[in-house]
Amino acid sequence: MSRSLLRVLALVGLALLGACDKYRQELFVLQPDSTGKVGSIVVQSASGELVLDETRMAAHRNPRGATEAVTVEPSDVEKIFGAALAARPRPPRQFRLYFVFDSELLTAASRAEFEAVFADIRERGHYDVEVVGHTDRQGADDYNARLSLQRAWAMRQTLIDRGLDGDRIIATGRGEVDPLMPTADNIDEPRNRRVEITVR
Amino acid sequence: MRLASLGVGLALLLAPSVAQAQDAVPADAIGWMKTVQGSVTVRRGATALPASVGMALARGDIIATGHDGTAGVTLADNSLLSAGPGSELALDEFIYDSAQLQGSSLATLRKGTLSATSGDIARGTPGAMRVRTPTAVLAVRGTTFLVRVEE
Repeated sequence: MSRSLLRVLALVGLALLGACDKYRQELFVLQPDSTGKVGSIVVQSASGELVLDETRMAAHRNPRGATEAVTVEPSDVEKIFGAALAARPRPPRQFRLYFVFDSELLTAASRAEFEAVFADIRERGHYDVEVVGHTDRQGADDYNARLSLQRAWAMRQTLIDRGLDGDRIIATGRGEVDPLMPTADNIDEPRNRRVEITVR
Repeated sequence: MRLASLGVGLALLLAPSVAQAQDAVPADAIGWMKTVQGSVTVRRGATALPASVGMALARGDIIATGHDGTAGVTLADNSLLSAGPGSELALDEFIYDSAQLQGSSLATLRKGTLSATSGDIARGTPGAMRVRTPTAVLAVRGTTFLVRVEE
């Protein structure tokens, strides 16, 4: 084996180990979410707990040492985590569409909103859709259980009619037991006549 | 067809809410593979499956990316996990009741790099989403964060 080949192999080995930055083996870095808000995580280890939040965004830890705060340059975040960040799935979105009283017909406003739901699904390379139907508390529990399911199934069928794959759309109903606006029984609250759609 | 499905749905409706939540995703799926680049394998028990976009994931699955591979996962509570090259990520625990927005999850990054964004489990109970490394456990109170584990 030639000396230059050995040198290349050594360099590749170093790159694979990643031991070419100032941070230790285990590194934890908080990121702002899509709205710019920073949450928090608690790092628990044999040496105790360290809270990371907007005042202390990163920590590292070697196999024997304590967890300690560290400042991570944005360019290092990109260098170390760029590939993992680029692999992030598109964030799921949730929609709420409303129905005409005692029917599986969408209200006029929700018919327009439906187009946004459809567009969001279509823009995803791959989709999983969950539709959960609900009713208001007017009428019997059994009747509303069936109506909530009919609403979810009608929505699923509409999506299939528009060309989507039914195998990737799950429809269930929860009747009147999970109202958006809690009411007494036998109240026809429009905001409870709805489907909640999660697009992943 | 429609009537049969309606019957199944009504049966689900009458079951306790936890069973509904489990049945809201196919079989025992806890999430889905959403992005796959390069070589990515899902180890399930004694078998190693080539990862593909859309693949349903189960509790206990280990996602392994090759030196050219990356993978992104959406879990049923809408949390997101994605791994860079040379990573091993185990989906150890996942319990979620979508009606109550309650549950707990645990994933282990054995090596490599991870980007994680919390979902409804951490929203319902701060700290109930956990990510483990060889020497630490991260309890997530709702955020996006990054983890590296070098061998």
